[in-house]
Amino acid sequence: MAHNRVVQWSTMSRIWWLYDAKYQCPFRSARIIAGYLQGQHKPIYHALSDVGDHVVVINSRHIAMREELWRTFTFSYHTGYAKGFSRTPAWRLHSMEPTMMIEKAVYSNMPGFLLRRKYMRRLHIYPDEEVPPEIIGNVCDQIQQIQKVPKRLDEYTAEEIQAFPKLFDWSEEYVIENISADKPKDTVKAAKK
Amino acid sequence: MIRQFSTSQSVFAIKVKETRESKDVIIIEGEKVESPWKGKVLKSDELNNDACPICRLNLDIKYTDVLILRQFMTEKGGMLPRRATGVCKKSQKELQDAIHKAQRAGLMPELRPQPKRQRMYPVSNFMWKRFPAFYDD
Repeated sequence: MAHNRVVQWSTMSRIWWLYDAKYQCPFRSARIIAGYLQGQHKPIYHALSDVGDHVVVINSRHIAMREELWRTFTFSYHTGYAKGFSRTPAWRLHSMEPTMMIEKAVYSNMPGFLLRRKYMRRLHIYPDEEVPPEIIGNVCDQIQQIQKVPKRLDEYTAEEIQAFPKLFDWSEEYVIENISADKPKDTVKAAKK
Repeated sequence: MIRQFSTSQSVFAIKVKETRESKDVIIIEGEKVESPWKGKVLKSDELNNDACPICRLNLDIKYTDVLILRQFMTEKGGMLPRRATGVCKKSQKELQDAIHKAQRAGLMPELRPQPKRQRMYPVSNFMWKRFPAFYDD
């Protein structure tokens, strides 16, 4: 029997969520993670009352970016001193620090108030699936992935690949090249019988 | 150019075989080979069989349909030419784009294009390609 006292405890409690960032866009995920860190998913939400939850992000090394953003997107930073401006492309930052991209994206998605640093301390990012036991022991629920992860070719079994219907049959003109070690390319055209 | 349909039941492609008889003489033969999936090709009365293999399906092929894209590729990671598959020019371009996207997304790890010649630019120029990409089609 759920006592009103217990129901009140459970609404005011702080929950630990798990998010798998494998093959997800960091910017789109950050929008949702920032919402959970502030507590916007709760009916008791208010910006000034600290009702946010913890979020544990795993597989942050395996995020995916849209089209050519790995090359074109840059992170800029100025140290405050003279000649202190630097700009790093996303692929470079990610190869050096695999957790930094999600951290920066979540930070910029939250409003710029004084509680922002406090909420960021409740975000735990791990590059792979290895999480320390004291943190994974607190996790009780999971945030759903935003993007559908497509299935790779090696994840299909050989029977599934063979059973898939074939779309075309070879035409008569097609010449299959027989590759031998000392054969130059031009001899192929002279071969048709 | 009208592609000729053979009315015979079996369709052959030509396989080139090269044998060396002596130092000066090379014999080059063309051997007729049947495709391993003869008789299993998708055909029905509802499909418009006059159109090319992709247009007659009337499907929206995306880069995630790896099982379809795989059929139009060689084992080395390159695409089959149009005269082999019978695909129209428009669909060949669509397939090309879809295969490029699938390779950038890391969906076909074994069917990757191989380097043709010596590298002209340093590897660091292309490090961004190691990370997966996704596309909003």
